Amino acid sequence: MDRKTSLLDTCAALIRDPVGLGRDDPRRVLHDHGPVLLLIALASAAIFGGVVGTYRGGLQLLYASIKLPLLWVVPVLVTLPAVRAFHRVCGIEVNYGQVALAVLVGCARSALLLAVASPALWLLFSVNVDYHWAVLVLCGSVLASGAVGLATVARVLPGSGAAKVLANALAALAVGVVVAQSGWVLRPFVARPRADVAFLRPVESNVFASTLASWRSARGRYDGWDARPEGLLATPPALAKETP
Amino acid sequence: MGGVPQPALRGASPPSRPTTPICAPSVPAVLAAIGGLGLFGLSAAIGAPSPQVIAAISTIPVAGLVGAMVLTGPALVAGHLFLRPNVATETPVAALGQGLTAAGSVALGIAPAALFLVATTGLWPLVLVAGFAAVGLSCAGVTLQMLRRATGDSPGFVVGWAALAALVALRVAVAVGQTALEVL
Repeated sequence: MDRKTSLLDTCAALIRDPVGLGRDDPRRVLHDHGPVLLLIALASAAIFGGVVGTYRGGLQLLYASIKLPLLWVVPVLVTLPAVRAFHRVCGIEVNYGQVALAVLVGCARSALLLAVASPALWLLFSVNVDYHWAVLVLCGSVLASGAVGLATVARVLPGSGAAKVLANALAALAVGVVVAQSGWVLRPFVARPRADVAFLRPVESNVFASTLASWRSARGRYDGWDARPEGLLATPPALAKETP
Repeated sequence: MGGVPQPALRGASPPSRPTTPICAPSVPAVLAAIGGLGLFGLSAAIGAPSPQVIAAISTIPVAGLVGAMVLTGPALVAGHLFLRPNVATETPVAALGQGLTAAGSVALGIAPAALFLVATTGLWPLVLVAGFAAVGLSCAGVTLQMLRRATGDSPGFVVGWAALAALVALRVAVAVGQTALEVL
């Protein structure tokens, strides 16, 4: 089987029957399809990132194409042990091969769906939609595809009944929190048309405080928001002042 | 014979469900679980302001969970010996061991996510509390599930023991936290 056919076959399997990929021995499937699945996930996320970058254009096209795949990969790597631990504590015996395969299939499927839906996003961005609406549409797209990815992971992993529901709910909570914070750390994806282009903003505050501030603003309470540097990776204030 | 009820007679009633014997975890598994708890504690506490506080805070998961087990474990064993004569003496100890290993595996699993959140936010106290709650609930859940499998029913005193153990774990964790604040 040549590489082109294999890529198409894997894409078809991802869309039609992702559970079928998890039926065989996980290690063998990872060996046979793992690189192709990873390629599909990264390339699809990069395509989606490129489309997101068209809102600002220029260098942001490249930056968003690099950062969107990271948004797919970093949370998966960070939460993979937690997903396995939650399943095992709920009495579902899974090994790292099964979890890695399920998560890879979920990632590739969700990213593929985003990539095929990206022309619609491009159309929306091309008519100069408002910046806040652009951000909301991006968040909605990522949320929808993330839900598809998590549902796929739940279907591919073994187990049944209340234990499976609980394990997947806990896994979804952990992945959701890490994806949200990763998105915050990797911002901006949608840059304002007249704003300076930056690959990353300084590590400051967190996504939860930002969401709370947005919620207060939406209710008409504009009491300000102090985004201070936080976390081990944050630049200390003294150094930040010296940085031009 | 007097009218005093005999515990052995109460325990002699057949279990309502088929029972499953519990295997106690091996010593390396228990040590790995304690290591997992320590690693999670370190991952969450690394956001604390000074090395002394990091050292004190990082012991909260191990001290809280293992301390609660050591302090309340005898009550669980004695309660089973008193109320369930048909259950093997080792059963509650094995269930506690399984609970501890489950808690350790959850702690090990969430440690990378905790480290990521601590590295990119200032929410290390929240990460520590939420993770400790998840670890404690896992421990209690698995212990209760194991005892339910072994005894065939869910005795009310086990739920009471779990509540007592949770309170003791919280008290130990608060005591360690206070020590850390004094260091600060």
